[in-house]
Amino acid sequence: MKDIFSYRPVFNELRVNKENIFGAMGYEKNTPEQYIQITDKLLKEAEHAAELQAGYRWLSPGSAKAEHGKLVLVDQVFEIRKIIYSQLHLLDGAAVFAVSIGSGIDNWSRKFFEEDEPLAGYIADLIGSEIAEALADWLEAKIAAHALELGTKHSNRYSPGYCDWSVAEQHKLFSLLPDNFCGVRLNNSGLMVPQKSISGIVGTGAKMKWREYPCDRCSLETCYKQIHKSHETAS
Amino acid sequence: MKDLLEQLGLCVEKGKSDRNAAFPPELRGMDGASELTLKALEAGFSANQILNEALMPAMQRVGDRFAEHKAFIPDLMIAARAMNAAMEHLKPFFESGEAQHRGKIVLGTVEGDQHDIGKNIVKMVLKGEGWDVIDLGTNTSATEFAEAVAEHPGSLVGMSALLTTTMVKMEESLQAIRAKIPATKVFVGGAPLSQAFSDQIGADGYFPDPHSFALHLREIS
Repeated sequence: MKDIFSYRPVFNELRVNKENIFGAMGYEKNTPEQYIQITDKLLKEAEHAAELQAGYRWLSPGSAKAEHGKLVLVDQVFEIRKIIYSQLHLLDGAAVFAVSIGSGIDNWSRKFFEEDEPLAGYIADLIGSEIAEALADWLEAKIAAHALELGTKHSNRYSPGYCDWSVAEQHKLFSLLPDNFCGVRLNNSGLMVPQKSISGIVGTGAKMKWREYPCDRCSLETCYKQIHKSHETAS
Repeated sequence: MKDLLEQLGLCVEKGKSDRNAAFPPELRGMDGASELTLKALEAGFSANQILNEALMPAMQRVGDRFAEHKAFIPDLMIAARAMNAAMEHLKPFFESGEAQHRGKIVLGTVEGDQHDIGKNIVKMVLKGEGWDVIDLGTNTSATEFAEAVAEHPGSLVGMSALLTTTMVKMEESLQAIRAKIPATKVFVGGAPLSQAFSDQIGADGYFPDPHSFALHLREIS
């Protein structure tokens, strides 16, 4: 049975939220006109710089389990720590996913810095991060539809490097995916190349529930999930 | 005459680097930091006067607003860019020794890590603050950090990392630096870091944003 699903969505299918970009800059409201104009202009150009790829491996019931604080997917054991374990311990299947917007926006951002246009470089970088998140949202909706079709439920998505899950576990996660899946490769540090990529897992099973990230239990104040959350709360 | 320095300070504070800059709208079509610095020099102000009475106080005002959460990273960046436009005209005075940098600082993202946006923002803010910045780029090895401090005696070091797997390289780099020049002050920054981590590896401080780092450097310079 087919278990690998990969896509190349078009930019218009994504819901890129400009408010998240302004929130990442620090503006909950009253973003100065200058930054709005630059963001609007760069967003239009970003569409051409982004190369969207997304996909997942569907792990059927029986190939995933959580026990003794650990997550076992096929032959890999993950130290997902308390926060994620509390969200996934009732899973019986999973979707292991990766998305990437390619290296175009990274290169574009870097070029702005080199050409003494640092503000544009900074905003281009934020736009790249937001597009990657929107792409991960898009893929999560695909996974949710897949789960629904099979009469099962799914969790929120969780990624190494967040919620206390070590980024070093990226290597195990990618060992479950085909080589160069969605154009993503890892360096020794577990850094994804292209950088504007997201990987992770979604738990599936009859007892799974989609829950907000439990940011109140995490101490990483600089995490973008915390920043987004405070932005959502304020607006 | 003093109006010229006030106007120059205002341009830096508002991020108007030159006459062509479209923002802020209330200064559209007027001289920016670049032109006003030239005019100030022509009017007989010394490089140090321009620095100490216009540029630095302007950066401080932006920094104060940042600390109060009334200004954010983009505001720091445009102010620093305007400051750097002014500094271009003061370069000859730094080279002749008539004006002095606050000091020298080596910046780099540690080995295994390719993230450079945060480091680049810190770089431009510190340059705007009057620091001579040596940028080693990303994926900087412990040896490269150590060689840089040996090449630039008396320099401080700022190390950046964005991953929990690469932040551990900071300790190795710090030890290599201190093995070359034991008294070197080393500071760390990056999303997964904390003051506790800085203390644990024996660094001289962790700073979560460019302004708090610049402020600390101002205090110790």
